[in-house]
Order: sequence, then structure tokens, then C-alpha cells
Amino acid sequence: MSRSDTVSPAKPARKTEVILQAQGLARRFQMGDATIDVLRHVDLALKSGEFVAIEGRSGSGKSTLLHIMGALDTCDGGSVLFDGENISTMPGWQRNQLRNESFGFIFQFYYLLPELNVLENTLLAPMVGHGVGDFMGNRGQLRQRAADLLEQLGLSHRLKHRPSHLSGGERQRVAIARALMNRPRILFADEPTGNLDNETGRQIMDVLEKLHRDQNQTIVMVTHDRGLAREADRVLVLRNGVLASAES
Amino acid sequence: MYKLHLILKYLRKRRIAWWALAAVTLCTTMVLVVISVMSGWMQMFRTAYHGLEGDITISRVSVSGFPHYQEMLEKVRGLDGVRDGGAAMPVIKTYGLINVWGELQDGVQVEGVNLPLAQHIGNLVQGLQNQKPYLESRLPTLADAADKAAMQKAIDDFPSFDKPHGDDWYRAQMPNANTRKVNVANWPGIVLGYAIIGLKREKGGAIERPSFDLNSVWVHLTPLVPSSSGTPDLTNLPVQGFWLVDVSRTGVYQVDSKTAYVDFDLLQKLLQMDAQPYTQDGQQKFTSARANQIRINVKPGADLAAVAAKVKQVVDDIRNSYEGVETQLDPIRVETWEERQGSFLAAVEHEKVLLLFLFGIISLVAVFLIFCIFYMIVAEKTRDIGILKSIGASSGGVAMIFLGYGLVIGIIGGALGLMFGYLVIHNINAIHEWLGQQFHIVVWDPKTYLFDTIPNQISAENAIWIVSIAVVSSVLGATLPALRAARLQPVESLRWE
Repeated sequence: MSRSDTVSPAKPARKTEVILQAQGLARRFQMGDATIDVLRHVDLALKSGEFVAIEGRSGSGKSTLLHIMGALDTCDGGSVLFDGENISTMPGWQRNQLRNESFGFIFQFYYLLPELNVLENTLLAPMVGHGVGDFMGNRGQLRQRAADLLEQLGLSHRLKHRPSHLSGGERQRVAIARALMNRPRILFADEPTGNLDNETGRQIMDVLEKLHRDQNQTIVMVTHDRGLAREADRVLVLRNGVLASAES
Repeated sequence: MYKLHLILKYLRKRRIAWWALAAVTLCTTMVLVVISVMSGWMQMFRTAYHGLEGDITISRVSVSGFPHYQEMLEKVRGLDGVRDGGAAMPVIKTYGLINVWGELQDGVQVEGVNLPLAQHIGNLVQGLQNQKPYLESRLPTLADAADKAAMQKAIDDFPSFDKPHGDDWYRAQMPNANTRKVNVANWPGIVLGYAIIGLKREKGGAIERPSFDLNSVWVHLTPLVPSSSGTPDLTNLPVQGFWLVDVSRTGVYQVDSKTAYVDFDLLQKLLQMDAQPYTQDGQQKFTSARANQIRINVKPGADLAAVAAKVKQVVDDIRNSYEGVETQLDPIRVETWEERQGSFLAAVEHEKVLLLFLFGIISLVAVFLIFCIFYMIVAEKTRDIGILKSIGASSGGVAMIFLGYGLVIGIIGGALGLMFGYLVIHNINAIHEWLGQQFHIVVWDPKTYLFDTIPNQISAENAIWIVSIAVVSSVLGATLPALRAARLQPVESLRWE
């Protein structure tokens, strides 16, 4: 399969279209003899081009919700529909494909591979999605896209550096570049500023807002910081395993 | 694409990979060295023992031997399957005391052999160390015509017990003998096992040339002579003087340190095993000459057992044709070399079983070691597995990274192990010698292992097997950790502490 379309301009989207829908999501964890219902009944409809923040205290289950919606984890009840398809019942290979092509993730602890340099970490998503021949055939275009993204994120002088030589903010920007590399339909951000100082966190938020504003990027961000959450189009609060709008 | 990229990155950047590589390399080297030395030893054992007495022997244990051996020889030489060109040779074996140069007295096995015939049978002649090239190098330096003629004859007659000097030269070596009216110039030649006189092997494998002239060494031999009753008369043992003409090396230390070789006809006379006159019914008759052994070589590719059966038939026919040939306690035996060395070969076969057992344990240890290292690698890379899965890597893809990692480490480690193993084995005798000189460490005692050199050949078959096992072990060692990595849920891996 030719993947030359990966370097095409961002896909246009309209905010009226619901692309991800969680219905009655439940998730429980067994801790010794005790069963903890982290998610009881979560409903959420995410429209294309929307920037939604999910706010909640530490341990409230917001990361778990994000992981389930992003096909990183499974739920014990309910369903998640992406473009109308139930991802909870998809076979493994299809969920893998979804994570590679349609979803992008940013984590609190960046999660870069320490052996790879900045450019290689950014290219990891297309590497996973392509075979050797396919990747080598499109290598020039893919490298150019990665370099462009990194340049936009102010990292053009760091391409050959390994993560251990970068600051926290730089690492998170590399993680953003990696997440954007395959032009995801939805960008999931799990406490993206949680490990950064205020100023650096602010810069990361600016990047996310710019992505949303300029490229109409759909973003779901979980955070415990009410101030950051308010910068989203819509703020939801996860409390006692149930999601509610911030105003309610 | 990411699998190949990460395998190469992990190899280059992860120090633990170097430990895994070192473990595979060391295990491969160790197994290769052990297996090569042991299987080389077993091969040397078979070759050397095969070379000692030819393919088939007719023998009696008694030093008095058996009669009618010439008739046996004649018939055996005519048998189909026996190598042409006189590949059957009579031998007399007895025991004796030697006095070498008045400096060394020892009990030895004495073998009476016909050297020209011996070059077709066994490895005695191939093991003669010095005679021909030494004499050829010395011939131009000789001034005395008699010396020159004798030396030329010794060269031309090689292999023989010919002495390489003229009579005057030998007389000059023992001036005192003249006063005792002993004509030392008449003494015949003798060959001694090189280890009897304490010669050492040089690095190249040849026997060192001593600082003294080997040909000037005289030997007094007192052989054990069986009397007509079979009991040796110890009060009247003959003493025969000899001049050393060469030293031999069969490769079997026990033989090389305890065997002296003299001319067959001479020993036969000394032991009174030649045809002895006797009177019967007023007529003088002669007894049949005797020998202890007939050594036979078969044609290449001939069926040893079938030829041995024919030889046995020859012996049976002769035994039935004459009286007094058969004995109850010590019958004439016809044996193939494997039957004759059966007790030694059985011990070697036991060694082989032990070796396989040890090899199995070593392999298991190697697999376990690699497994532990890979388990640590996977544990250390658990979060990376979560990262890869979060961007769409499949479980199979993740497993392939670690299996591929194991495969590459196995291949590189196996290749390095092969290289180091080759270097060690190729130089094992030099290393052993150096250890002995520097630290007085002697691992290979020729008295224990029969041979004076450590086997230093690698069989291609063994090398291929061992490297293959190293590669398979590495992949096996990586399999369980790889499967564990593949089964991890992305979220579990990301939360891994």
C-alpha cells in the first residue's frame, strides 16, 4: 500500500460530525479482595475538530477513560464507537491499525524510546505502519514531513539528539511530533503538561491550541488542572466514575 | 521496518546486549574447545591405536610365540583383501632391560620388527623422527670415506637399522671397549621410543634434536629369553650392545616411553626363537622358527571382518596340520585392531557418552544464561513495548523484535565464538606450554591422556553443529521473554515501573 498520502495536507473536518462516541463505559479493577469501579457509566460524544478537556482528581479514572477511548485498554461494559464502528469488539490487528493511523497519543512522561534520536522517534509511527520496502520507498517524503513537523515545533536543531539530551518541554514536543506524524483523526493527550513547569507547560498548551485552531485537530485532553482544562472548547469532569459537563 | 531498526539500535546502544553477546561467544568458544579437544582426543586415540599394530593381528600372549609363522605369512599375503606389497609382517615382542649410555636403566617392551616391511603396516616407520633428513644433511660434511659410505647406505636403505657411520667412528666412541676386546663396531642398530631418553617435542610437533649426537648413544639390551621349557633362565640372560640409529614417535605416550625396536631376525636369534637343530631318530632336524605376532594391513575399503575370517581360516588350517601348535590356555588369536584394543576403545566410548552428557549440561546452561539475559532485557524494555503498542505495533511485531534480537546475537556470538574457539584450539599446545612455563599449570599430562599433544583440529561438522546450537539457544532463550513481551497489554506496559 502506498502511504504517500501521509504527507498530504491535514484532513478537513466539520465540528458537527461525531467521530468518537462512548456509551455506558464501565471499567473496574480488582485490588486484592476489593473491586474498584473506576468508570461506572460514562457517555461521551466527540465531534470532529473539537477540543475536549476531561478534568478530574488524581485517581479519578480519567487516564483509564482516555486509554479505553484510544483503544489502548478495554472496557468491562459499554462500547466505544469510532466512525460508527465499535472498537471494543474489533480484532487486535484493527485496533493496532487504528492506533497507528487514526489516533495519536501524548503522555505525561513523554514515552520516547531512549535509543532513538529525535528524528527516529518521530518516524516511529510510520515505521510501525510500513514494511521495510514500503518505508524505504517513501523514506525521503516521510523524513521531510518529520523534519517539517519538528521545525514547526522548534526542534530543527535537535534532530540527531537522543531524548536524554533534551529538556522536558523538548521531549514533549518530540512526542507531539510523533503523535502527529501519521495525521491522526484524534489526538489523545494524557496530562501533557503534568511533568513540566508552568512556562514550559504553557508552551505545550500553545502548541495544542494552535493545532486545534489552525488545523482543526480533534483533541481529547485529560488533566487535573482546572485552569488548563478551561482552554478547551468543552470541559467535562469525571467524578465518581461518571462524566458530567463542568457547568453541571 | 521498526523491528529491524530497533534490533540494530538495541544491539548498538544497549550495553546489556554486549553481555548477551559475550555470553553466547564464551559459551560457543567453551563448547567448541571442549568438544574439539575431546573428539580430537578420541579420534587420535583410534588413529594411534589403529596405527600401532596394523589392521589385523595373529598373536599369542606368550613370549615364546607360535611356530610356522612363515607359512602363515605366505598364505595370508596371498589372501584376497590383504594389501599388496608384503603388507603382512612377523613381529617378536618380549621384555628387556636397557642400559642407555650407562646413564639410564629401564625395563622396556622390546619389539623385533622388519623396518622395510613395517613401512606398509602401522605407523612405526612414519614415526621415525630423525634418521633420513638428519643423515642427508650431515652427509656432505663427512670427510671419512667409510663414514660416507655407511651413511649413504643408511640413507639408501631407509627405513632400516643400518648404522650411519664406519667401524672406526664407533670404536672411537667407546675407546675403553677396545681394551675389553669388545668389537663395538659389530653392534647393530636400535630404535628407541623418543620418551625413553627424555626427548621433548618441539612447537612444530617434531622431536627436538638433542645437543649430543644421537648416533653416538650406545644401548645394552638384556632381553627376557624364554627357554625350551618356557621358563626364562634368569641366570644366563644374553646382553647385546646396540647403537642408537633413530627415535620413534607413535603418538601413544605409553608406547613411546616404553618400547625399543630392534631387527626381527636379530631378536629372533637372541631369543632362540629361530629354527633350532635337534636330533630325532638319528637325524638332525630343525624346529620351526617362532614369532609372537603377525601384523596385517588390508586393502583400503576392504571388509575388515571378512578378511579377518579368511585369516582365521589360514591359522586354523595350519593349527590342524601340525602338532603342538594348539595350546589350551594361550590359543593363537586372530583379531581386528578394534577387537584387540577393545578394552581401550570401550573406555573411549564411555568417554563419548560422558562427553555428550556434559555437552547437554553446558548447552542447557548456555540457554538458561541467554534466557536470563533476555528476560532482563525485556523487563528493562517493558515500557518501550507499551510505547510501540500505543503507536500501533502488533504483539507479533513486538515478539519479532526480541526474537530477531536473539537471532542476531546468536549469529554474531556464534561467529565470534567460532573465531575465538578456532584461535584457542589452533594454539592450544602453545597456550598450554606457556601456562606451564609461566604458572606451572599442566592440564594435559601425557601419562594420563596417552598422547603428548593436545588435539588441535576443529571438525567442520562439529563447528557447524555448535554454532547452530548457539543460534538456536539464543532464539530459544529469547522466545519466552519475547512471548511475555507480546502478551503485555499496552497500558500494562506503559505503567510498568
